[in-house]
Amino acid sequence: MAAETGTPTTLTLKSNDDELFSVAESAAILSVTIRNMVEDGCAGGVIPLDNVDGKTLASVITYMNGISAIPADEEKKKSYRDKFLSDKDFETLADMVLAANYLNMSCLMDAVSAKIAQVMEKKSVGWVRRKFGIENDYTPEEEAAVKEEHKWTFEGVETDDDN
Amino acid sequence: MSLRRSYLSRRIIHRSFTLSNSHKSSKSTEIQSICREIEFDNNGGGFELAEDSNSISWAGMPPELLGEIIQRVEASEDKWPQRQNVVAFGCVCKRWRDATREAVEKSSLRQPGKITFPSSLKKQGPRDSPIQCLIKRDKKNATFYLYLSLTPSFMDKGKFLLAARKYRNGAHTEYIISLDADDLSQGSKAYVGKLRSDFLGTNFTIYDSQPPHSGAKPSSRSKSGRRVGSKQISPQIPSSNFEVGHVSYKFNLLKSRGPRRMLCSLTPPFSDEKFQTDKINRDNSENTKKLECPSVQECTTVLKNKAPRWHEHLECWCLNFHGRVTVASVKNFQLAATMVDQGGGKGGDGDETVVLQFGKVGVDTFTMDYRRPLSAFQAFAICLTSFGTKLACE
Repeated sequence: MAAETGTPTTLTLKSNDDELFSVAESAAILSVTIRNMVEDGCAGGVIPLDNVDGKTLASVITYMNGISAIPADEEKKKSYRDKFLSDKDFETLADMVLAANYLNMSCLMDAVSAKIAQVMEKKSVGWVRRKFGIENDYTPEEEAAVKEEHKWTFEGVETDDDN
Repeated sequence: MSLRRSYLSRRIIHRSFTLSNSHKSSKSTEIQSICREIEFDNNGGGFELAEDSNSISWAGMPPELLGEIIQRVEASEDKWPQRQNVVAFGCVCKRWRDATREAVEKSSLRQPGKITFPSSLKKQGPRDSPIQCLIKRDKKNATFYLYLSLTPSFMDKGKFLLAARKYRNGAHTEYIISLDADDLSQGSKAYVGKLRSDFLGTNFTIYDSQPPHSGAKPSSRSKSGRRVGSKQISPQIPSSNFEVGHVSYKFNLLKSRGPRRMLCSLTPPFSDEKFQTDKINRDNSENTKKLECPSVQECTTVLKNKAPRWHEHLECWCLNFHGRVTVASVKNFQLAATMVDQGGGKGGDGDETVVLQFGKVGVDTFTMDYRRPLSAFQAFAICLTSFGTKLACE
């Protein structure tokens, strides 16, 4: 735990491509992985994060700082999360999921999941496959059943095939 | 070409990243994306190309992380129409589908009876608060539509669940029940079952297109069809017809305009809990499963309608529908369950609990509220028996 009171403790995080980042401990402990390290007293030197690259870590730190600066107000936190993720592309979102998992940041995982659901809303299956780069591995029989299911689910909803 | 170069270098980064995470990346996907890349490149589709390169990390997303994401979506998109997003996840590919099924199954242990996939319509409803639905009648086309109520109002249509159309078949009447309001034939992929009545319109048999349990044999009357093969996909392949229930209306000899008396016997659909016990048993030992299954299958639900009370003051028959029925009609009914369990055990559970309530709220609008042990499909079929004149009853 932070020993001295008053002076904010700063942690140094290192990405897998050797970029170094300084973060206030109070923001960094949003990550349960980092919080455990701090509690175990092994966060003194540089904390290596082998599964996160510099670009993603920079983004995650922006998020940590942004969200921890907001006092306990769920509405404001939510709107910050929405704004934070609004300009992220598919690749970044995937990197965020991997980073949020590795760093054990439940609230970031929640936010990214909600964002993905929002992106997929009212889109055709083909659109989702194209955008997420996923191969259609159904047999023709399964594909027909899925189509039937999709039609039932989105009955009366215009699914958007383009853009 | 510079785009292409940057794409390739990006791909290499991705591959090493993928390896460092030590999860399997399917080779075929990679080859496919390279092919696609060339294709797009030839077409000069630079924008598509750049986008495509973005998404390799999604194709290689470890299943447990996919599960994490879908569980979160499942939990937050609790109600329709938002719940359609959960199904959208399940439509993408096999891995996404498995993760979605698992997330829905997990949550159904906490809250059984929720409607997510079309296959949910054949599962038992919730134990406590009933699922509220509306039935709209189209007299001109002899068609009935079942909607899931999204608001307490009787005016909002809600989420479409099932449709049924009445057909004359010789001396019999048949209601074909379908997932597709525009395709109400028995040969359709959307066909889920049917209701058949005798000449007098007092005895009905409910047929399910799918077997109610693994040992079920198709009804002799129906044509032999394909059996359902894949467990992964909710099987809506038009196949055989399995008898899953009977509804009969008792003769009413004393009074010409007295209340109807209904009797239903049903094979209860699989509940999610049962599914889970089966799964656990299968995991533990094959023997336990064999011991438990027969008693579950032999268990039949018997439903009787609650007898209305004669209201001296208003001079009519009355039932308490708790505000869900507003128009007096001979069609209105409440069914209460008594469990007949030959294997012993949970018999006599909640004798007077109303498990299905049906009644009129408008000229062509009716409410249908059902709960365990009925499924939406069974409840809808039972309600359909109430439409149409019963020659022997009135």
